[in-house]
Amino acid sequence: MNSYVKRYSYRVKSPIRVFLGLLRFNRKFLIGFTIVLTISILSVIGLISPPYYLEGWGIVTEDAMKRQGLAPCIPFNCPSIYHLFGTDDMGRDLLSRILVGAHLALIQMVSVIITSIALGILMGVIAGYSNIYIEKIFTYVMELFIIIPSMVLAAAFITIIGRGMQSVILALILTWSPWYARLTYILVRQLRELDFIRICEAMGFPRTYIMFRHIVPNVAPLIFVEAITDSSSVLVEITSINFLIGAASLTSIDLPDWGMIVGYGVRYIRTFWWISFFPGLFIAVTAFGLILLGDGLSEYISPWLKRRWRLWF
Amino acid sequence: MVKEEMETMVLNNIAIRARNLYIGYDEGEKILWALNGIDIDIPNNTAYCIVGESGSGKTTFGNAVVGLLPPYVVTKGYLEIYNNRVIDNDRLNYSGIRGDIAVRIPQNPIASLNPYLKIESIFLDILKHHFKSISRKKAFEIALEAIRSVGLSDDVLNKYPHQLSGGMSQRVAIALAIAINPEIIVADEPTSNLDAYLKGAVLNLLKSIISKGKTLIVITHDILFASALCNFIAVMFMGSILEIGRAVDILTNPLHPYTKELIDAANLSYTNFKHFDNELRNNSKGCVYASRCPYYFDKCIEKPKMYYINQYNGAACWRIQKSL
Amino acid sequence: MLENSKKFVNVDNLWIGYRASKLWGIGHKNIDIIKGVSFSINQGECYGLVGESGSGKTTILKSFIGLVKPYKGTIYIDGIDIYRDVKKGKEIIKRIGYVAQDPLTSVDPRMKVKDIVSEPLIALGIDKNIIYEKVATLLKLVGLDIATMDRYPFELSGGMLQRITIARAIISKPKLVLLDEPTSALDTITQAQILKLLKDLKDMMNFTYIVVTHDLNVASYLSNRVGVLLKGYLIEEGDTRRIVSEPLHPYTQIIVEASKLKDVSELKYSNVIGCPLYSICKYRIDLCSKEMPGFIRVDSGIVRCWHYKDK
Repeated sequence: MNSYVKRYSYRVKSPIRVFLGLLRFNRKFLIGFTIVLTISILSVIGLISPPYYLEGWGIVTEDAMKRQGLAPCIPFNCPSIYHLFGTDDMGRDLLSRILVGAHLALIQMVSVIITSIALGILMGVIAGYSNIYIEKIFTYVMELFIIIPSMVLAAAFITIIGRGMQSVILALILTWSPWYARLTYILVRQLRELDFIRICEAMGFPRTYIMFRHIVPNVAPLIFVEAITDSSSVLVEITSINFLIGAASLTSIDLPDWGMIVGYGVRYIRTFWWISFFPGLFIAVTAFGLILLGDGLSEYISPWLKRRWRLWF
Repeated sequence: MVKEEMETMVLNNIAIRARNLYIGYDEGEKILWALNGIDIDIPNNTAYCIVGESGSGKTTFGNAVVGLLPPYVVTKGYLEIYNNRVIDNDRLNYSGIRGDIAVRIPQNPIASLNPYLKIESIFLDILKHHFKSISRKKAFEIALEAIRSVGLSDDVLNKYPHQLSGGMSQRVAIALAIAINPEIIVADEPTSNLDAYLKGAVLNLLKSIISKGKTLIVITHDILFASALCNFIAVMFMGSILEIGRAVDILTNPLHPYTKELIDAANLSYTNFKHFDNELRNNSKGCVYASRCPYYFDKCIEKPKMYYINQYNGAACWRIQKSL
Repeated sequence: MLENSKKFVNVDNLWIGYRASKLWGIGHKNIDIIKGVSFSINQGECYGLVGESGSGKTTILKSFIGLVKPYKGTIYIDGIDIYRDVKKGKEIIKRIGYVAQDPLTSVDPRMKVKDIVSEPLIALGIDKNIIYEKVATLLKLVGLDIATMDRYPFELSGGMLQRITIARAIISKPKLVLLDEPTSALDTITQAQILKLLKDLKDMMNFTYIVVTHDLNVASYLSNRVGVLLKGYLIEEGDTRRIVSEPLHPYTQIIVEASKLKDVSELKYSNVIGCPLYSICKYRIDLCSKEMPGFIRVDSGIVRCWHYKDK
């Protein structure tokens, strides 16, 4: 028997080893991870101590009024090296605003994703593994919410709850959790037919036990990977909503969410082009990094996405 | 007897020849070797069976003959089909062989047919590709003849794959393979997806194919089926050939202990359920069967070469050489 | 019948079917999977059910563990009607072991082996501390190393996984073990090992087995008695030795021939009321197409064929 074990077994990799292995062998994952890591570090800096703290949060200080509209620091044409990305029309340092905006973007994105995964998996598992009436109700509600676009929902929430990050986050949670719920539902329906669930039912376990002990652990990893791949879309959605509607602005201070800064700088696009350009650049780069991260991870999970199979086509 | 003498023997017209063939799959971090140094000669117009468990490399060999190796494969040694070197160290060249001379009957018959096409469309597809210009009428005639020769009725051509039973779709797969009149047919586990009572029917069908003068290679894990069908049997284990010989001789007088184990298992006359487990320290150069062999002794640290006791039969085991 | 009620397992006139709706939901027709099957098994015996795919053998096993409800007929296990007496029936079903065909899908891929094997005991509410000891003893019994306890299923081969499912099936010391084609997905050598293991376990611990298979060789190795299923009908039943040497029903004769690797013609069943073998049966008479034969008792079992109606 030991010969069989030796022949077929290999060490189960702990998550840390999986992670290090991915970093070493999967170039996509490596690039994506470095980008995301850099942005996270920048966001921590932005939270704790950006170069110009008050300006970063949108307050126009007296110092700022003296240096309105400074151009960014390109080689051979640098007005002031203290303001690498220049200043906006009110004189606030753009770099600090972007750094503060980084942590806002991450907070919004992470809260949306985590909550919608949790809600989605819960709804999907209940829908997929209960009696036919609950199933019908849940699928109906899920499909209803998938149809509603997030921007409309965000505008609706602004009128109801008022401006602020919470309306954006709430709107996005309500748009994304049905998507994960439906994905989970499909997976659970397939999983239900497998022998081990049937045998557990025959052993006499109650439905809730089977749901949380057997179905959720098998479904959750796939949903996590899907969520990481979707996180770039979530980021772009958040920033687009803020760009168009300015949903996250509070009346007292000018919240420096990236989308907001871009929206603010649109009217100066011919003169002070850098106000819109740099936040947009950061959005693009972060989204790109997240896509690479998600792709690299899903290549690990499903081997047929790996490059070597693409040689066939 | 030594191998060189075997080569000059009566077995002329060798259809497939492999020497020191290594085939492995590149997994990124390491290479998984499926075939570890195979030397084999398959003569023309015979039924040759490759018997082994899953993981022994027999499917890889079947794929190598037909030309269906995946692109991340790593090869060493050479493989010749009718004197064309299809695998030459690390170069693969299957032009003219794949789909023309060598075809494969796949293992799972239902999954190998396109569920959206009627059977006749599948036939027309294949025949149109093989004969560059062929009229629809002629292709239909060939399809009809192929269907009749496997014992199915004409109306099967009008059906969709999901309307056929397992046995019928296996016959359709065989008909598809013989419709283009190939020289070499590789049958990959023809009965493992079917019910047990269909084995006899598949047996007779494959026998009728050989009578038309083709070379048939059957890959299976059932040694009784192999011995009822084939002239020659090669027993594989973990990428190496352990025994080679005529079917009748192997059944009555198996040389290698692994073959004995296979025959006992097939007859369900396993008297001793002891599974030997000889401790070997990382011995990749020794005999592949050493860790399970009841006759293990110190010479087994070195990998034995195939040793022939007569014109046809041989085994890769030091015991044979010791006793003769 | 009086003598049957003393037996351990008693299936009496089982009919399982479902309603399929016709075109656009207007009207429906009844499709029967199992038609009037009756058999009984003594304790400690092994009963084999042989039939091709589509004959309904898996459905019978599913009805034993309560996954499929029959609309007519009863199943008695240990004297208890498992469908009428719901509470006691559920207790009995908890103690039935089930070994499925495909070892890969019958275990939860995210659980370690020791958790997989100990699950039935958790359902029975046994104290957690002694569970793992039982698991260790049982793994040794089925021939696995204790090191496999902490492994995951994807690390193990098919044969080892099948042993784990067998261990899980017998850990609750069941009286009845259901085996659904236990070796179809395995290689020849592993198949022989698993079959020998099953036989040894049965002799050692006096289980009652019901083995469902399509391979007559497997059934004859393990079983004392064999029942042959054809399209939902139990057309012959008897002692294994008698069935293999002297099959009475023409279908059984075809199967016995085929198990010796002889060629059998492709079986085309007729859809008439009456015996499904009508179109290819060599003994056929007019009555066979009008009415399905009843149960005719032969020495150790039954046969359903009009050819033997005078015996």
